Amino acid sequence: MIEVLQPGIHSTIQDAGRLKFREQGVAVGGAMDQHAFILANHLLQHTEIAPVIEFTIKGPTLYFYAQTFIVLTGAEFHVKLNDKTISHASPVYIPAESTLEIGHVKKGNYGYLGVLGGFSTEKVLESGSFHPTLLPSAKLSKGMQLVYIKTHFNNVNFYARVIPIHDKFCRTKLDVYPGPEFNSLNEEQQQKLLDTKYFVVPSSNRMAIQLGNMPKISAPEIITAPVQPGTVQLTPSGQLIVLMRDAQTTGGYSRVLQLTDYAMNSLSQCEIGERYEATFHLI
Amino acid sequence: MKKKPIISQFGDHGILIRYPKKINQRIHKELTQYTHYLVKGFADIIEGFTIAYQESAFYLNPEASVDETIELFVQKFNEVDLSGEVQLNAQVFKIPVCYEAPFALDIQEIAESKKIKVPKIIKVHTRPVYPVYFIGFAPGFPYLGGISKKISFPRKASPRTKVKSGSVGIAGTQTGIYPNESPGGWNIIGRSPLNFFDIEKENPSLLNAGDYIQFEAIDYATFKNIEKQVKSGSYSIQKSGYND
Repeated sequence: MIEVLQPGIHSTIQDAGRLKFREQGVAVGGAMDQHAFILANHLLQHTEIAPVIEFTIKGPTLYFYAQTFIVLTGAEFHVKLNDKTISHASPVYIPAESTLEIGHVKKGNYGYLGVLGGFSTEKVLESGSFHPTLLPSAKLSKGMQLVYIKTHFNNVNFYARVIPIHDKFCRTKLDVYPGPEFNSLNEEQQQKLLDTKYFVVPSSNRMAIQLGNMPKISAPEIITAPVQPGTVQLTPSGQLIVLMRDAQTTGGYSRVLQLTDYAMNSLSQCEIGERYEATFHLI
Repeated sequence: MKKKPIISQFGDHGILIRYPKKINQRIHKELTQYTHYLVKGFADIIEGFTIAYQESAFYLNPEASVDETIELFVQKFNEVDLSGEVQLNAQVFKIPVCYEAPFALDIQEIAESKKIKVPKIIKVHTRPVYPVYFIGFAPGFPYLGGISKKISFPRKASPRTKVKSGSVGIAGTQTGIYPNESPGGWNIIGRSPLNFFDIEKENPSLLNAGDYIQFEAIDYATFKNIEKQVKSGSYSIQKSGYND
């Protein structure tokens, strides 16, 4: 069992999300960087994909009662296990009665912690992912206890580790499809949309990432229509908003582009600020 | 007459079906029929879907080919007689609402500002049969057909941080119900004791695209009585068939 000593800024349980209830108004949710979430599971050699802890800006401090293995993927944080540093993207043995302190982020935005065998957490609508009304208990709070089942193991051998590519956190090329309203922009507007080097603005969160350095283009509102994570909306006031995992299922802004799944994972880790650039690439 | 929709790819695993850009019950009915027909016929590859006013999106499982599925969708559209094969069994749900204190937080303000008496607001609000166009914004939140201009009222300048579940509101020419407690900027005119989103059910949302609702005014004692029955599971919602 884990006891949460400090919850961090916004630490939540996440998995693949709720894919089957969109027509009932349920946001998909799930890990912002799905690749890092799957990777954590693969590195722990899980045959069944299990939920992980997602954290951002400053991670949680956790006390482990029983021995286990963990793995950290996604963004890199300052991490100490019983006051010693541990490696990223490689399974690490956790002795019983250990304290894991996940500090501030070093590179990227969203970090993940997977535990051997997975956490056994509550599921609502087939997912353990945090949702403010459906599953508010999936947000870490001080004193909260998280259960992992696998505490006895013989000769576990983990063969894989991953060398992270740091470049993806500061220069992000995003593959996109034209969105349903792309052709309601004229050619000059389309070029401006595609040629600009954007950056991620600080108000971004799990619902949407807003882009800065906007060219002077805008688009009218539309009759409320389906949207999904990765939909790029252009507003009447000229803002560009990329919907992320916790976005609503329908929206009323022009849908000018649509990110690929891969691009969405990359964008989720693109750091905030003008030093870091994101560009679109039409596929 | 079948209107041919545009069917195109929407992201890595999505397909979008687009009818002409209009909020129109006839277009929406055809969209809903065609959407349900496809969801049923391709249940093995469609993981999820979203219906809106004149568009629906289908999200396929990652192994399915989007291009091939688009071809099949077009083929099915040409083959099927939607009105004949797809019976939607549209139903009118009677939604009991208590338009009294302590629930009707903003009804006095609307009455004073629009110079219309409270009983008249209730009468105008309960008269129509509203189509449920779709569920969006939040789990179980219905997008309903428009209300009479007599009781339309702009959204609150600053939203409330907490609106209780079951609250019935007005924003512009729209009326809606908050299925869960959440922040919100709609003017609250009453509350329904029903549970609009029950995670214990296979289909948690009480209402779905294509349904109809009519509000029915109840007093505080009836509200409390129904609330008790809903909690114990003994309440059954009044439904009737919808005739065009």
